[in-house]
Amino acid sequence: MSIDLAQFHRTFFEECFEGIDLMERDLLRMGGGPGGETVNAVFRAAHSIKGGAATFGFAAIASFTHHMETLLDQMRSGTRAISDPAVDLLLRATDALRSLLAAARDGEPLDTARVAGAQAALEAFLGAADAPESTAVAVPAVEQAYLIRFVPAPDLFRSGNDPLLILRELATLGTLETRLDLDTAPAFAECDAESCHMAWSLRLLSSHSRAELQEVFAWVEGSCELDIRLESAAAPPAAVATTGPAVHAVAAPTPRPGEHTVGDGGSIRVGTDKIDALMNLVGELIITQAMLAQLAGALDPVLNEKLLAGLSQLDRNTRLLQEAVMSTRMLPIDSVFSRFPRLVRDLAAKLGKQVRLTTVGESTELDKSVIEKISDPLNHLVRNSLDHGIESPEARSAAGKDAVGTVTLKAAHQGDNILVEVCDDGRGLDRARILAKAREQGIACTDAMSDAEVWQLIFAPGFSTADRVTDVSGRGVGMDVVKKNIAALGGSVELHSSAGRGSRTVIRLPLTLAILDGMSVGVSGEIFILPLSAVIESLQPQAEQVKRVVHQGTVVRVRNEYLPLVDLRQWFGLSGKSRPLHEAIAVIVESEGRKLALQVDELVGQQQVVIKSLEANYRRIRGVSGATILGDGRVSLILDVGAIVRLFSQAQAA
Amino acid sequence: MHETDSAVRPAVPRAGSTRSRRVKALRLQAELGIDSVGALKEQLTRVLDQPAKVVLDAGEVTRVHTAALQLFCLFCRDRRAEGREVEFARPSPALLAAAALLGASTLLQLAKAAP
Repeated sequence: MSIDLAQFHRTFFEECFEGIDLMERDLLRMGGGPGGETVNAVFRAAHSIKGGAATFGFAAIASFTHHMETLLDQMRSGTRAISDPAVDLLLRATDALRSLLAAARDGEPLDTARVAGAQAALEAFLGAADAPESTAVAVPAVEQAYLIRFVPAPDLFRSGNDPLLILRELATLGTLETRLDLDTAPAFAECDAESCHMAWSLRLLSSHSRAELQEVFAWVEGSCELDIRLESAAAPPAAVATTGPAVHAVAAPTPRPGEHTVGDGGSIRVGTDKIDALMNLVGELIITQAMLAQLAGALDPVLNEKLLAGLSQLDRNTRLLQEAVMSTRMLPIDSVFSRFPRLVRDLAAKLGKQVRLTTVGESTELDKSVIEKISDPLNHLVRNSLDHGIESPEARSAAGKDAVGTVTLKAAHQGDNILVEVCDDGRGLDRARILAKAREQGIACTDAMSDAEVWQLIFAPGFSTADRVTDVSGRGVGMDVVKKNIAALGGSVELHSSAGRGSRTVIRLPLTLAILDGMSVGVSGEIFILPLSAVIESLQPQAEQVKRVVHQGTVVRVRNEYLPLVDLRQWFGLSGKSRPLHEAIAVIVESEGRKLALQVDELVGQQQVVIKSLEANYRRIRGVSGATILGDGRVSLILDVGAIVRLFSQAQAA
Repeated sequence: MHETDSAVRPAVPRAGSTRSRRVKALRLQAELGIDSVGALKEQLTRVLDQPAKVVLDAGEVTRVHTAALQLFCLFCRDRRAEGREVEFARPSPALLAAAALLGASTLLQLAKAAP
């Protein structure tokens, strides 16, 4: 049996990239101010990366990180001030480290100039620091004796760890006495060579803090039992055997109080494919449950009381299961937001602007797949805000505003949706300029358009108001791509702006891409699903509420508002004859600020449906976002309200 | 790892008394990483019940993983429990350092084998 190193490498790289993200975030937080716990956190991250890299033989990464670690160590011990140049240098180093790791992981060519540059800068910086370091007031070191009980889990070796490296590092912190414990080890013939059967009782005489000792074990947290205590505070230790084989000397195992055990924080790493498979099964379960519920509807409730009670319990448990499985896929949006402080800092410096970034609701959770896909659109919006929205400090001061502009990222739940907002207090959108540019680029528009409609022009393919292509804008990703990406997630984008006071982009996203709260409607014997989030109301109009307008089709008057009417039967080319509207039902839906009345034959009900991709199983159809399987086994199409509203307005405009 | 089937004298004079003049020598390979412990265990298993004294020549060991050291510990412990001899010859600095850190020097009786 041999150990597959590739799987360790994968975990190692994942953890390293997480570590770098964390370092970057904390470095930005440090920015010149007192460090405290933050600098410790950055140090720990660098330390873990170094340890892992050394374990796996990535010498270049280990040595590079070592320099960062040295600098951070000086910063946290107070021998070096946390200054802007130092933080800048460390940020540069995280970039270089990232490219080193990417090169090691993917075998991509390495940006050697950047890495060498960063390394040389670090070394020069550290070299220059040697002098002040030596003159720094040495903290009087008080040596304390720690008793450490270290019991690795059997699979410690398999997770790529080697206790030898840990003990070696521990030995650098002071005087280490080691006692090996083989009590629980099986006989040689029966042992598994790749499992760890050993345990250690250690005594360390050191001037370092307990937290620092704990850091040495950071890499194996969760795969060992660990108890670190001061000798004075501990129960009298069992006599350390000095004669005879140590292995026989340990008579009683050292007490292992649970409260000191460094656990795994209650989390494990699970592949997303496994969660997806689980999610898929839950989807199938929901379909089965819907099927049973439909069959049970025909049963006599008196005769089948117990069966029906069981079914309603099944219904409840299925829902709970679905929520539980969905929650495993949820991540706080902070994982996206946390990238922006760096982006804003760098961009603002490049553009010569002063920008403050605030984030609100970072802990809002949303589906991992949504998080991954929302990152690029958000990136684009923030870039736009900085480039086009926020003015230069002089212009801001002249306008009586704070010279430092503010960009705010907000996230919040609203029903079954997530709202993500990018706001800035810049100059706002320029209506006249947008209209002029749109005309120039041949996009249909009139001066009579409402503000909301003018803002929507920005999303037209190829639209750009930038007079010059800068490093920041004009990279070929337009707002149309932003909108397309968000629409692909089943979301929508709205723009709000007020001249001179700033603009606000609101992205509305579904909580998950797998399940949808839908309203089922019947048209010509077919069942269609409308996303409940898009439905405003449904009504049966009186004959006098319906009007036909020449060249404009039919409109329905709802509370003094005339809404265009779309007959779904005609829209999908279904057989049968349309009923007069006052005998049918109008479902009013809204997308991108525009309302539409959809004519259907009947409202069937409201249910959660599992979204099956139509593209993956058939092909893309305009106006349909997916399909689902109904309780009776029939396939039902899920309508893409956004697309229908868009297609309808295009047809009207044509 | 090279195994010599014939009875050979170890590279260094044996310390202590032996019940038998016959010894079984095993030369340990230089790299004793986690990826090689499977093979190491097989090699050691073959001589586990060997009545002759087993001498592990560790002169070339440059890298040793805890897992390899664990095998040595269990091997020595079990053999000695059966009253059979085992010793290290020419333990390399890498092996000595690793055993000292892990607290296994005494069990492996490396002190007397150290050059």
